[in-house]
Amino acid sequence: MGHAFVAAYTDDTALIDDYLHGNREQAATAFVRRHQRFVYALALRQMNNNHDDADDAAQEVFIRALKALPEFKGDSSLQTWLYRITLNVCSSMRKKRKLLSWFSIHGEDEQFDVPSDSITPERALMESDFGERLQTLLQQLPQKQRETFCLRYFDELSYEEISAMVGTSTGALKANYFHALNKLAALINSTNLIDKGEYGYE
Amino acid sequence: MNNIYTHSEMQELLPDYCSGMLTGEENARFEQSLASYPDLHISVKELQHVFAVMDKESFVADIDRRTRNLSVRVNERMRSNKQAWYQSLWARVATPAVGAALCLYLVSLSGLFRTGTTTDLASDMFSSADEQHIESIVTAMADSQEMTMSIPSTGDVSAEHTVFSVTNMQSFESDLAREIAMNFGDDLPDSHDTDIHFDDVLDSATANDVREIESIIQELEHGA
Repeated sequence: MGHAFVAAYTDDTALIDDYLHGNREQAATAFVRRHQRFVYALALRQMNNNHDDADDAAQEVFIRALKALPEFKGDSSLQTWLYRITLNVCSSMRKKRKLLSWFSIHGEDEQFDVPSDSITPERALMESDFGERLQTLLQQLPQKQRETFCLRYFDELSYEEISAMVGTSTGALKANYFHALNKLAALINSTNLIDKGEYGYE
Repeated sequence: MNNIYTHSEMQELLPDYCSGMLTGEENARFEQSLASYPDLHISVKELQHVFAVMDKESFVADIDRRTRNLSVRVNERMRSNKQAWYQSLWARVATPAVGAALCLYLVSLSGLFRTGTTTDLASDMFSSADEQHIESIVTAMADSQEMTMSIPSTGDVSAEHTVFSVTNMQSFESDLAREIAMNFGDDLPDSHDTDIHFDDVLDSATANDVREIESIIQELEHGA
């Protein structure tokens, strides 16, 4: 059903037009579903892989974006625009959390940050292992290399799109990506994260 | 041979090949070229390991599972934000405005803003009997303010006390002082016409002067 919402709009322009002049809620739903994976993953990286924080940030990003959608001029792509909003929201949230932790208020907040959907313990363990493994690897990369790798690999953005977002040349991005991969390969070789024999080399 | 990538092109395309992001045509051309560059074979296997560890499918599935209700939550928050905006508008603007209007209305009812502090009495509010009564009260009040002036006794003056009404006292005193000044001006301090005071004259008078003064007073009284 979610895909039906998204499929109703051929591109972002039609989606924005419907949001401003047509079925506002349906267009908002399609807008969120089209970009939620990108925004959530980015927020997750910005919020130190904390899913609760990433969820809060993603909601805030879409609310801000929908409110500001009438002012969106189309100078950049909608995804680039969302990228900047996400960075701003996450930066604000980190400062807020830091301030709250300074006054030791965050402990009270945490009791309300309960995940919305229930996960079985076995699945949680499996996902936790996967998440920890991924985090351990990615956290050891320099920030620029990590961001380039994630935008290119997980979000499947072209170098031109990444360049528009982060303001780095495509040549530098390719170099970053290549260095990130080499570093990840070295890290994997130094740790026994996967069974090397499975892939036919020792 | 034009179909073969150069070494630098191969290095540039290597990550995308290992992550499966090349198009079908690019992929076929890369594999065809790879045979010419054996030094890249190890790199290909290492990078394929990396992408296997990354487990993109699991990562994406995890993100999708966590965000499946995100649009619902966003729409709910948008609706509640709109309600909160209306509520805050009512709280910030409408409530104080209504309160201020109510206060102004109550204050106007209490009469604090009425102009003028005196009450005009219409002439037809009193009967002629009332007017006479009021007049008699006013007269009594004026008479009660009569003042007595004592004159030092000299033995041969019959009237030790002369009573002057308040209304006459001022003109009499002024005439008396002027007359005395004309006769004893040299003996009086600051004997200017307009600044002569009766008490000063009496204080500075001698016994003879007093007699003369008393005679002058008698003359003035008879003259009046």
